[in-house]
Amino acid sequence: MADRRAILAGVATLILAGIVGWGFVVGEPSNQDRVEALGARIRCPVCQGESIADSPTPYANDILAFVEEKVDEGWSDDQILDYLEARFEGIRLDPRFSGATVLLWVLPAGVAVAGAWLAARRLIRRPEPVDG
Amino acid sequence: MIAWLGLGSILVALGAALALAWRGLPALMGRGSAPMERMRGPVPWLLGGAAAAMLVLEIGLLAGDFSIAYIADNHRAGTPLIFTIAAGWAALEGSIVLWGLVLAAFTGAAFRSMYRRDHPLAGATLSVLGMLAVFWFGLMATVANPFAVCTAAADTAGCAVSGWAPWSAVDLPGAGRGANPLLQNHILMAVHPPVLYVGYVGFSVPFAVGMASLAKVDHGETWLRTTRTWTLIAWGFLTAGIVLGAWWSYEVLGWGGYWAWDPVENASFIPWLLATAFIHSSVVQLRRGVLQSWNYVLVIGAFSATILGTFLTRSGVIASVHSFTQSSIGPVLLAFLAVVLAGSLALFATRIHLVGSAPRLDSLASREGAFLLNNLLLTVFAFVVLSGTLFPLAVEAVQGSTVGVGRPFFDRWAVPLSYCLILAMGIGPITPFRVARRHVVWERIRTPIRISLGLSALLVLLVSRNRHVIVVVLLAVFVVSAIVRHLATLARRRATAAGQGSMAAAGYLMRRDPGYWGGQISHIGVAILAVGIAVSANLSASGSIALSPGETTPFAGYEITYRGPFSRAEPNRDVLGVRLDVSRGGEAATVMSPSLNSYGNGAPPVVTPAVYSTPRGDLYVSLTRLDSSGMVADVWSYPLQWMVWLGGLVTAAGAGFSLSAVTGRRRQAVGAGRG
Repeated sequence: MADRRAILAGVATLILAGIVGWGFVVGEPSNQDRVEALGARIRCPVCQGESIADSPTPYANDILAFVEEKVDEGWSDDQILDYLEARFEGIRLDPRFSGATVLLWVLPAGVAVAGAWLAARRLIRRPEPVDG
Repeated sequence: MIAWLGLGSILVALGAALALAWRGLPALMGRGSAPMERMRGPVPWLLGGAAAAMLVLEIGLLAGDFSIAYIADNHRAGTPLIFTIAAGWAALEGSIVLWGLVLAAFTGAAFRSMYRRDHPLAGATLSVLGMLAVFWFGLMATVANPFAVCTAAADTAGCAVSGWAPWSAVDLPGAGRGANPLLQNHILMAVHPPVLYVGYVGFSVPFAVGMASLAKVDHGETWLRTTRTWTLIAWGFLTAGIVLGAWWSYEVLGWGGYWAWDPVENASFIPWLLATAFIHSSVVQLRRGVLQSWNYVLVIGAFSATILGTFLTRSGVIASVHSFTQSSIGPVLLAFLAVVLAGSLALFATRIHLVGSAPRLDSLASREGAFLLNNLLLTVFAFVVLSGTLFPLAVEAVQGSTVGVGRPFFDRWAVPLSYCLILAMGIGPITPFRVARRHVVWERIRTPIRISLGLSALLVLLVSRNRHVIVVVLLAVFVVSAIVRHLATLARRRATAAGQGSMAAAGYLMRRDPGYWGGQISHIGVAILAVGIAVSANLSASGSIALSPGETTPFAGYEITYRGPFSRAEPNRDVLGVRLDVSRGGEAATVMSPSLNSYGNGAPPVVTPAVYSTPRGDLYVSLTRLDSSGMVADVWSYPLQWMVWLGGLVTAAGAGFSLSAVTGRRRQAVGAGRG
C-alpha cells in the first residue's frame, strides 16, 4: 500500500511540475510586455533621469509610440535600441557593455567569484593527508 | 532667546560627548576598564542636551519664531500642527538635530544595558559612541547650526543670509517660506524619517562595540552577541523605515511606483543588505567559530554605508527630494566617512592576525553552507547597488559626461540575486548544521515542494503565465510551507511528549528559540513581499484617461466616471481636484479625488494621487491636466499591492519577535532570581 501511495505521489508531483514547466515555456512576453520593458530601458531625453515609460511628457510618448510600432513590425530589442542610440547619445538607461561600463557588469561577477573562492579555501576543512 | 537656548543645549551635549569619549579612552586603549561611576556622569547631560535642542527647535516652530533662519525657511503660518512638528526634521539642520537625539538615546540605552550586565566592553564602547556624538554635535555647533539667526530677510518670505552667533543683529523676515511642499503632503512624513533614523543611527552601537572589541582584542562571543542584538534593533527599524519610505513615495509622489532605485533609496538599502548578511553570518560564528574577521568587515561596512548614505543625501551631489540644499556640510561628511573608514580598517588590519580562524567547516551541504551562500549573494547585491549608485558620479567627475545607470541595470542584477536568495531562504533554515544527510533534507522539503508545485500549477492554469510571477510564487510558497511544515512537525512531537495542544506546543517552541523563529517570521515577510513585488510589477496595467464631465471610461475592470472638478481652500494649501466615481461590474465602488495641491510659496502645485485599495489590488489615479473642458489623468492598476507593505512590515516584525522574546526571558530570569 505504501508503495502505491508513494508512486501516486510521485506521478502527481511530476504532473504538477509538467504544468508549471509548460506555463513557464509558453509564457513568452507579449508585444505589450516588450514595449513596456524597452520603455523602461530608454531615457526620456528631455526629463531628469526618467524613462520614457515613466515620463508623461509628449516627447517621451512619441518615442514610446515609435518603439511600439517597431516591435509590431518585428524588430528585435537590440535593433530598436541601436537605432535610437545612433540618434540620441546616452539614451540607454542600462549602460551598454562597452568602455568603462564594462566594469559595472564585470566587477560584481568578480566579487562573487572571488568571494566563493575565498570561502571555499579558507573555511572548508580539507581531508587529512594520509601517509603512504 | 531660542537661538541662545538652542545653541546652549547643543554645546552642553557636545561637552558631555567629549567627556564621555575622554573618560572611556583608557578602556579603549586597553589600559584597564572605565568604571561605571566615571562614565555615568556625562550620559544624562548628553541626553538632556540633545533632547533640549530638539525641544527648543520644536517650540520655536510652534511659536513661529522667524528670527531663526531655519524656522523662517521651513515654516509658514497656518501649517497644520503635525507638519509644523515634522518641519523639525524636514530640512538639513533639523534632521541633524534629530540624528543627534537618536544617537544620544542609543548611547543612553547602551550605557544602561551594558553596565547593568557588567559588560567587559562597556567603557570602550561608550568612548567610541562619545566620539561619534562629538562629530554630530560638533557639526551642529559649527557649520550646520540649526539655530543660526536670520541677519538679512529675503524679499518675499524666508531668510536670505544667516549668522551663526546668537548675538547677531536680527533682520526679522515678514513671513516664513514653508517646508518643501512634498514634505508636508502626507502624514507618513511625520513617521518615516524618525523610524528610518532609528535604523540608521542604530548601527552606531554595533560599530562601537566592534571597535571596542578590536581595540581590546576581546573577540570572543561577547562582542558578537551584543552586536547581534543591537544590529537586530537597528535592522528592524531600518526595514520598517524603508517600507514606510516606499509607501510615502507611492502615496505622495504620484509617479505610480514605490521604488525607483533612486540614489537615496539605494543609500538606505546598502546598509540593510550588509546588516542582513551580518545577522546571518554571526550565527555561523556562534555555532561553528568561523567568520570572525568577516563579521568585523560587515559591521564596519554597514555603519560606513549609513554615513555614505547621509553624505549622498545631504551634500547635494545628487538631485533628489531628500537632498535639501546645496550645503557646506558635504565635504565635512565626506571627511568624516574617510576618518571612520581609515580608522576602523587600520584598527582591523592591526588586529586581523589575532582574529582569524582555522578552516573548520566539514561540508558546504549544511546550514553553514547555506549561510555562506546567503552572505555571498547579499554582499554581491550590496556591491551592485553601491557601484550602480556611485558609477554615474565617478564618470561625471572624471569625464564630465553623464552615464545613465537606472532601473534596468539594477533590476537585471536584483531579480536573479533575489531568486537565489529566496531559494537559499527556503532550504537553509531546515538544513542541519555540520553535514546534512540527503534523506533528512528530502524528508523536510518533499511536502513543501508538492504544495508549491500544486499552487503554481493552479496559478498557471487559472491566473497568469508570466514567468517572473511563476518563479516567485513557486519559491515563495516553498519558503512559507517549509517553515510551517517544520514548525508543525516539531510541535506535534512536543505535543505528544508533553501532553499539550499543538498550538500551545508551537507557541512554546517559538518562544524557546526566538532567534530562529523570529528569523522565520522575517522570511515569511520576505516571501509575501516578493510575491507582492512580482505580481504588482508584472500583472499591472497602466494608461491615460481623458474625460469631459459626465463621461465614463473602462479601465482594468473598473468603470471610471468624471463627475466634475472641485476646489477647496485649506489653511496651508489650495486643493484643486476632480471627483471620479469608480464602479465595478455596475456597482458603485468608491469616489476618488486626485488633486493638485498648491502651497502658496511660489512652488508649482504638487500632484497628489488618489489610491483605492482593495484585497484584489490598487487603483491609482494621478491627475496630469485639468481645464474647463475636461481632465487628463494617468491611471495604474496594481494587483495585490498591499502584499508589498504587509510583507515589509512582517519582515520588520520578525526582528521585534526575536528581541521581545529575549527581553521577556531576561525579565523572567531576573524575577526568578529575586524570588
